[in-house]
Amino acid sequence: MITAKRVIIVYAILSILCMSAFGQHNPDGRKVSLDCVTCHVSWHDNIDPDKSLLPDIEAPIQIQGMPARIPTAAMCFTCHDGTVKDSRQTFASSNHQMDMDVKHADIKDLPLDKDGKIYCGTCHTPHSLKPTRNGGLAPFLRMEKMNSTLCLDCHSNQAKSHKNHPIQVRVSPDHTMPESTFWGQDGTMECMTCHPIHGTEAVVGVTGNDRSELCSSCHEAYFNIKLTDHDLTSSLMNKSSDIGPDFGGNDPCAACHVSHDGQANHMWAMEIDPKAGENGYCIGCHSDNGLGQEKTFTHAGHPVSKITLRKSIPALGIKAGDKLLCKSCHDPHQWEFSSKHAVSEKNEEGTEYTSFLRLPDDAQGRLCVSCHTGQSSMFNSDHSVAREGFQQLFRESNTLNGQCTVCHGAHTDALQGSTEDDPYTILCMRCHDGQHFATSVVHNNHPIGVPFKSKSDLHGYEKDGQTLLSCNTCHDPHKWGKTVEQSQTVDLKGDDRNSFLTISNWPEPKLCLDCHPEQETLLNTDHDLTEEDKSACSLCHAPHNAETEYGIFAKWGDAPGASFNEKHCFSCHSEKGSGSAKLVEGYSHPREFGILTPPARGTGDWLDFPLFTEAGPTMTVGHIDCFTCHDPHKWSYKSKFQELGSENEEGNDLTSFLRNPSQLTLCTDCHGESTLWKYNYYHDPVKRKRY
Amino acid sequence: MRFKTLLIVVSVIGSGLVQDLVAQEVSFTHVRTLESEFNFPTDICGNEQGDVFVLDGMNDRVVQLKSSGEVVEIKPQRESIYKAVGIAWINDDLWIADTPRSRLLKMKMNGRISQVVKLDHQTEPVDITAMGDNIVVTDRLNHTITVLDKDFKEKYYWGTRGEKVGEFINPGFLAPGPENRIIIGDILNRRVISFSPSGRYPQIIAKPGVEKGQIFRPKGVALDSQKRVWVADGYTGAIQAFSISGKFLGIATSEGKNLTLSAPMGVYIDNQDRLWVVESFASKVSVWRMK
Repeated sequence: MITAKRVIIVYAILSILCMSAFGQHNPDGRKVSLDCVTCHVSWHDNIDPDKSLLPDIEAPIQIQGMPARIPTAAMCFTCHDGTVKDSRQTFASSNHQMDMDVKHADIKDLPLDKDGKIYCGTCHTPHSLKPTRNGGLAPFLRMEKMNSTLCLDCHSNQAKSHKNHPIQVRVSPDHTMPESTFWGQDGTMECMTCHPIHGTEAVVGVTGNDRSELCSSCHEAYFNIKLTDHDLTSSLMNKSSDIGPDFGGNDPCAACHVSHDGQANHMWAMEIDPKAGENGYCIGCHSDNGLGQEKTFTHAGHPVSKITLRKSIPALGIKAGDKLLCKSCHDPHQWEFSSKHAVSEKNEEGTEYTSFLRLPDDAQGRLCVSCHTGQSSMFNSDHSVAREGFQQLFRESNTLNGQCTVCHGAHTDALQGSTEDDPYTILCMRCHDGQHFATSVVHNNHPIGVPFKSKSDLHGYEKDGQTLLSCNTCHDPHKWGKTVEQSQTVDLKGDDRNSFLTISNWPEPKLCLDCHPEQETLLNTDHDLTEEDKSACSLCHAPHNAETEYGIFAKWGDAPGASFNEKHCFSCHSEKGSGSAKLVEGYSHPREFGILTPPARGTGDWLDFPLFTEAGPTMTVGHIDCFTCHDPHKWSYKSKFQELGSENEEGNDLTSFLRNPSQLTLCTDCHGESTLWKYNYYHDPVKRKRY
Repeated sequence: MRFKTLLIVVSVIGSGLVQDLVAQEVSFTHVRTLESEFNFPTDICGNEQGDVFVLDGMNDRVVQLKSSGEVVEIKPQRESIYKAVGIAWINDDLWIADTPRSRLLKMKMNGRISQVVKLDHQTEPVDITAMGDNIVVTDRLNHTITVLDKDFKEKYYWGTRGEKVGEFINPGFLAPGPENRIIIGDILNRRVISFSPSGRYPQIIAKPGVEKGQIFRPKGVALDSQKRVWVADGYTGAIQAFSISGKFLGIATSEGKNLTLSAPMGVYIDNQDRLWVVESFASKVSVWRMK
């Protein structure tokens, strides 16, 4: 009995020891729990090879020198077949799936199977992160999937610069991505936002090469590009391409952008000239041999790249400090600013409202005025394209009729083809030519094309290293001037306060004096006839449509006088004129005698004794006229007598607007000692009576 | 008295060890393979008329193999059975455990869903079977067994997550056993066990392990005409037979080798004692005849 008991006790002890020995142990010899052998099937101890049902698997992964035997899809499927978790969709998917060759990836820390291929265990392990719903389920991933950490471990090259679609950026709340879409923290976009690793689609909304649905989910506005000339799948549908983009499908994005590994920033599909900078994306096509060669442009247009913008312009998406680029004015995705609809026909010619402009060059010149704010006053002036005459001209010339582009070529020289040197005159004379609606300035104008010096460095045009006078010297076509800036009306008669003058010419004739400072002596003399709307200069001189070419004298009435100069002077110095106190009753020097001018005599300058013919000033032989003796701009030829003592001060032989002292005139050459007598006889009726 | 008790215990242990040494083989011949463009099918059932139904949930359909040999696709009307796992023929109706949507669906042969039974407490039904007047459902989410009456009203549920007998870690496929017992594959506890409908009187049928006579991933279970419990192992691919009392009766072989199927899941034994096995990973159904 005792022996039997001992046998039983020993048997029981052995049984307990056996049970212990027959537990589960890992390859290191440590006893492991039943949970471990749920997957680590080979850790079942003392498996009898003759009875083993384990499949003959060449385990690709070893743990501490022993085959782990688990890294097979079959093991994972035993739970993920729907009975524990349902991952059949994953197994059915051809996405990031087992047996996938490692492409476009630089595997760093994640394990591959024995063939170097991706398998479940590459990304997943039950030992790692526990599932969490904080920002998305993390199903036992080896790395966090937030911030695309897991993806970038292999695909670090996909996160570089702007050659790939950016990640970790906020997405518009108006997106139309599926509800199941994975988003990063705070709704940012991550790799898995577009690439649902185990979804039914390799990439959300992508069918074949057509990413339209995916791209439009977040970038719907860009799809206004459809059917425009920038929709290369439409405009170049039948053209073959050897430069990379896909023109064959229906995906308008694909022609220019690739999602990853672009040739340049913006995920650019095509090679571009790196020296071209940001504008290279446009120039790449809009060049002589480019896809958009029909719309090339020269550097004569609006300058780009070299201009840094000093202020932010939200309407154009410009921030202070940005360089001016093609895209500053153009949105390549939208043909027409105000309308979302596509173009009506291919190769539609652009207008000031279309042409992929971010803002139209409309009656308010919105596009140009965004930067050139100072020019906006033009829009209420006679230079506004809203004028009826402009519209007529546009129809005749078939030019763009934008507020600014009517005169300015954004991409081409507006005067392209002209052989003239002075672009401004050509431009102005398109309207002011006497044949169109604008004020004609074709006769007796202030000379242009001549060198000049101005105190204010007035503009002109450059030729042979000189600045020559042109319309823009005196006129700024964008600024009417004082009157109209306070008024909405047009068709005002201009005067010295406005008339698009670069410098106001009233009350002081600053514009005239800027180049003719020597004439300032006129001011405050009895010849300073400044009126309410006319400067001291304008009373006698008309820069346009003057009565005479010489001196550009303004038109006068039928004043007496034998020459234009006499009529000019007598129009005031007459009984009804403003100079009636200084009537010149005797004046005309006999015209039948020709007189040699000082240059002809070789005795001095023409101005020492200027002579005239009926045609005007002469440098050879002429007759005496008012201006022969008088310089109406100077009260005295001696500066110390220039200052008037009082208004209407009586003149003498030192003043009286005499050009020179009497003794320096040529009168004595002919008249000898009788000069004074003749002078008095002809100039002073009172004294004449003495003779 | 204590000695006798101890002797009995030792004898039981001993007989178990000896039993493992005398495993038998049950030879099968291959009858046919049904592929029908399955996509990870999971379960299979049949009726008295000899029709067999395969749940092809990932394709949102049931494939019917009629006794005449005709293969018919049954697509659900209006409803969806996408990702459903279990199927059963109960009281002349086809029932589907619509797992992700926590419901049971009665489906007509024209695809019309004639009855929807919404299950309580977020049950995610894996399999369904009839047992007498009761309907039994396994639940992968709560690790419980839910018992419904014949009108599919919930009567009670039992079980919880755990390793003890009476606890489950992912109870899976079901089969009605003899004497009104329910046979349950307790997947991650790696065992097959039978209970009374109320969850009492457990009887372990297959124990954990990776040798013959043991089970690693119990999936489909079915009873043949000899009341042998056939169990499919989802990992080893083996099909083994046990008695209802837990005795290992044999492993299915073919041409002298163990059957090694591709992730076998649902099994069904028809009235000709042919063994139908859903090989989910291979997306096919193989049919075997016992010699």
